[in-house]
Amino acid sequence: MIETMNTNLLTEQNRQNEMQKLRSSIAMSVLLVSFSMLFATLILSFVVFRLSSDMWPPMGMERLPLLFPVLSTVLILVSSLTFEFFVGALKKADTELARILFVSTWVLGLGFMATQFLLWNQMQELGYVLETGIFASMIYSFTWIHAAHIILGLAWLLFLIPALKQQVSFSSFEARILSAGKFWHFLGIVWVLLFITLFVV
Amino acid sequence: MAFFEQHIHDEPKTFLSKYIISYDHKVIGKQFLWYGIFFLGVGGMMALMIRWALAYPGVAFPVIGKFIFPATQGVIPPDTYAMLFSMHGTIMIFYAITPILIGAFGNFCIPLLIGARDMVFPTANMLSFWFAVVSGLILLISLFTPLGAAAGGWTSYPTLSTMVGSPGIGQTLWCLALFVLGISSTMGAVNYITTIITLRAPGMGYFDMPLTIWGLWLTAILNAIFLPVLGAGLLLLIFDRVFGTTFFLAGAAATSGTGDPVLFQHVFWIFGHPEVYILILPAWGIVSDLLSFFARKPAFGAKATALAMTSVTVLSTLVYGHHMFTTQMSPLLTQTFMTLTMTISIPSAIFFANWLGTIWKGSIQFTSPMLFSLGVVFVFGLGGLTGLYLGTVTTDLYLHDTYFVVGHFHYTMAASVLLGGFAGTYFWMPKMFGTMMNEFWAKVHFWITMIGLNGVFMGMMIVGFAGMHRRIYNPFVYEFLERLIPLNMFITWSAILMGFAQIIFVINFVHAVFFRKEKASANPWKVGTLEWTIPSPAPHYNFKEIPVVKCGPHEFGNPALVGRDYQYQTEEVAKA
Repeated sequence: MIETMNTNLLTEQNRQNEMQKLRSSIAMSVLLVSFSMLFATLILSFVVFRLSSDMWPPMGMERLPLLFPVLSTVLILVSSLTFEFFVGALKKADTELARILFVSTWVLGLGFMATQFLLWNQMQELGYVLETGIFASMIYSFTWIHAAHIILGLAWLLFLIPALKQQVSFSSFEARILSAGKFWHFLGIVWVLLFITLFVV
Repeated sequence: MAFFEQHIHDEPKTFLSKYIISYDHKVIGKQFLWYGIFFLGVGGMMALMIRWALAYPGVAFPVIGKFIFPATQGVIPPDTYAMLFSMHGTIMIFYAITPILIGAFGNFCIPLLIGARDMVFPTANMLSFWFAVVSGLILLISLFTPLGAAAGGWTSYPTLSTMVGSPGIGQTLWCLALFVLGISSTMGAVNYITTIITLRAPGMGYFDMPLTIWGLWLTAILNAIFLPVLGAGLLLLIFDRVFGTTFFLAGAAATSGTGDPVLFQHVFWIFGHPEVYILILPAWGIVSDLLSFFARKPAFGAKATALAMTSVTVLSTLVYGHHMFTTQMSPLLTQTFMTLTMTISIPSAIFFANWLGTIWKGSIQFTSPMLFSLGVVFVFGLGGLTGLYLGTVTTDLYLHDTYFVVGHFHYTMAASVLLGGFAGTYFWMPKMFGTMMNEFWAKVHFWITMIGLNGVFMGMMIVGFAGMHRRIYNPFVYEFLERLIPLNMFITWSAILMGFAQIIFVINFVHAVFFRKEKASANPWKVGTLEWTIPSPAPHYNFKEIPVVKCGPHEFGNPALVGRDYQYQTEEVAKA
């Protein structure tokens, strides 16, 4: 009797978790469409300026050294990878490993921010300030807007800390973890697009 | 998509948790309603000032003019005039219509009409309202800054909206306010979409949803996709204004490098054209339902109406270029945009014909919600048809930026939406506040509003056709417009009439909310959708038991029904 009640409760709990997962995945998809449109508009304006200029970079400016942008790209991509490993470790209930991977994801995110600051410093030293024309303006403002979202993403990741406790069931945190993960990967993809448009093309 | 049980917050006890920081979708809906009505008043006063300046140039604004413009003895100064029409547009679109149609009815109706206990994310819902409040405050504060509020028109085209055109902080605050409002609306949109997908009562398919929900759902989808586009444009404009970048400045206006003012127009209208449908879709949905409810007939081709609204939603994303025919756009593009614009007529004609089919041979009850719905059919017909002249390149080149445009868009997104909002308010009043509004005064309100608004907007189209340009402080300095002064006086007095009619509404509304003793019955309109199966006003949990839906929302006049002509959505379709 009690056993059947327990299994009933368990299946009910599972159903609730499943529904929660479904709910967050729909909401996250819509939200990511919104964020994509924000960055798509920025990239649209890049395309307009790029296509209407005779040469690029315009006004005799030189391309920026690629060191820091490449570093940023590597850091954010690796942090996406460590996040996936973190999810895998949690699934296997390996809390120790999960903690390490979670902290490394977060630290790599911080590292990304650090390389961004280094990039901005370097640009200033090379004489590119916000007002030096469309080329510099775009690099500054797009990376600023993206960095603001990285800060949001780092804050979002903090909400996963409760999942790092011992003896926590993965499924009760699954929706939350997947949502945060989607946002984090999304920011990585946006950065790759920005890297290609702003620094390479 | 399956339905799931929600965790419900306990019933709030304190004033703060009940009316201020409320998680309850019904309270948030009412908060948005009050918010919208407040801004409707502010925007309406601005409209009257604009009209006064156009009918009596150089004459002091009556009664309050001396207090507002002491420096000119009550005459509206030119720079203030520019500020007034900019803020009138902004306030009406973003702070009056959006909160009432989407904020109030969206929040109030969606869970009730689909049989849910609350929105899927109550916290995001509450935050969405408070973000809107912050945004409204920023906008109101901007009115009192040294150089005044934004004065570059509601479209805020550069160069007018950059530091070259408006050096005051007002324009920056305007951008900021709209950005914050965008965050609020996006949060709401995510919430609406997810709620409608996951929380429909068991048995309710998409085509069993009332068309109101269809309208709100499509609106939410457009909001989620296109508000961020404006957000990005505003961010770049803020960068131009605050940090000295030159995204939207070109030629001599740019100190270094070169941007592109027309880029902002593209970005603005990529958002702006869907925005028109964001505003009108909820009104279409409400009207589609109400026409069926009060014609006591099933909605004619309800599925086709829903699909036609969906196709309009899709098409609305592809036509924005028709706002920019005069920006030296390539003829290939203008013709493409013209053709796509004309294509919208097809789905619009489908649901418009369905409206007429719904009331055809119905036993129409001329209650106040029905009167307002029929009003929407009339004014939207006029507004839609005049749109054809503006969507056609050849006629638009002449009519562009005249009062014809002003008349047209007021018919579509002011008159239709306003009347739709009033229809919804009168209709859901018993479920919102538990009392009915006075029917007699509601009808008086309708007729005066209807006469007033047609005088205003029809008049605008006539003076526009005669060549009167919009956004000019005193158009009568031009000789060929001097003869339009009497017509402009007629428009102004129609506007004043319409303004006074709204006082009737406000008194009726406030009286019903706070002072009316007799309570409304659970189903005063004799309608079968889910919100009428529960007591009025809707209790804290909405539904004691989650209803199981067995038929569509418009089951009227079934001959197998005994003693009544409607049936609830929770009942099997009656069979003889």
